[in-house]
Parts: sequence; C-alpha cells; structure tokens
Amino acid sequence: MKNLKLKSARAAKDLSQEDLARICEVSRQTISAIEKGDYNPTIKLCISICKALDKSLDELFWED
Amino acid sequence: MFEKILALAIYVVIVVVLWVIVKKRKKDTNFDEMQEKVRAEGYKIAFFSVLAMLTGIIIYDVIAGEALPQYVLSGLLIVVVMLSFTIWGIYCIRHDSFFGIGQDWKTYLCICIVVGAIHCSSFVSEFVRIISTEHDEAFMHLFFAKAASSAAMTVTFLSMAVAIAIKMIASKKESED
Repeated sequence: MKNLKLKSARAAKDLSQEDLARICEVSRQTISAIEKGDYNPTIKLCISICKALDKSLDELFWED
Repeated sequence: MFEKILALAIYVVIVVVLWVIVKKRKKDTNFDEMQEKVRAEGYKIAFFSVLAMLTGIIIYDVIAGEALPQYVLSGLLIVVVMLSFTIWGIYCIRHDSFFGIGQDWKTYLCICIVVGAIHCSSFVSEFVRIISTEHDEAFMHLFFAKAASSAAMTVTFLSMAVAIAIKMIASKKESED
C-alpha cells in the first residue's frame, strides 16, 4: 500500500527523495520503494525518517 | 606432482586475495537495509540455480550411458559458476541493490563492457582454433575449458552491462511523482 503520508510530509519539507535518502543514510530507491509501498522499512529506518521530517511514527506509518 | 602442488598453492593465493578484497570492499561499501535484503534473496536464487544446474549435469551423466569427458565436465562447471553469478548480479541490478550507496554506475558499466569485449574476442579466437584444426584429446583438455570460460565470462559481463544500462535509463526516466 502506498505511503502517501510520507510523500506529502517530504514534499511539505521541500525535500527530494534523494535529499531524504541522504539524511537517513539509505539509497534513493529505498525511499521510493517505501513511498510506493513496495518495501516495509525496519523500525530503525522509520524512526530515522520521522526525525528527518519532524513527524511521529503514527503520523507517517500508522494505517488509517 | 609439483604441478598439482603449484596449482593448489595458486588456488589458495587467489582465495586469500579475493577474501582480502571482499573484506576491504565491505568496509568501503555501504548497503542499506533494503539492499541487504534484496542481495540475500539474490544469493538464495543463485544458490538454487546452481543446485538445479548441477543436478541436471549429474542426471545426464548418470543416464547417458558413458561418462562425460573431463574437459566437457570442466567447461560445464565453469559455466554453472558464472551463470549463477550472472543470475545474482542481474537480480541485484534490477532491484537497485548491486551498487552501494554513492557508488558510480558508469564506471562499472565501462568495466563490464571492456572486460566482456576482451573475453568475447578471446572466445572467438579459441573457438576458431578448435573448429579449424585437427585435435586430440590433450588439445581439447587444454582449450575447451578455456573456451567455455571465455564464453561464460563474455555472457556474464555483457549481460550485466546491458542490465546496468537498462537500469540507468529507467532510473533517469523514473519520476518522483
């Protein structure tokens, strides 16, 4: 399932996938796969993404 | 006897050198969690591919009635090894996990093309030599495995070059939105 919350939070911060990947020390393709719903990140990566986007885990990764 | 010991010593040196290169590469190259997962799946697929190919060779050898010549078996084993590496390499390239974070794809593309071309020319010359001259079993022992090795390396490097090129084009076209 696509993660549109992550995508919109990233856009709100004016960050490209490349920028967010660099901050979280992963590849751009990993961020792309998470947004497309093709990959489920570990909790460690989820926390890293939340810190980069100033959001909580619920806001980005909890299912509606 | 001396040649066998020398061959074994060369093999040990090659294994040690490869181990050192892999250890150094592990320090310098970073793969993220998704890439590690994909690479592990690639190893699994390559492993089962090796099992399937070796099983096929064994079954053929058993039911064929006569044992495969030594030089044919050597050539087949080389092909099995290189094919399994090709399968793993192309799977990782397709799923963005062959290159570590920050690695330059273009360098690897150039290397694959050059090495593939070198092995292709080597294979062509070995093949021409095999088909154009009268040969005995000793000749075949010497050149068949070499020709198989060159052919397998050509397929490996050129197919990986194609996979890298396709991936580079697809990545450029891929839009974030």
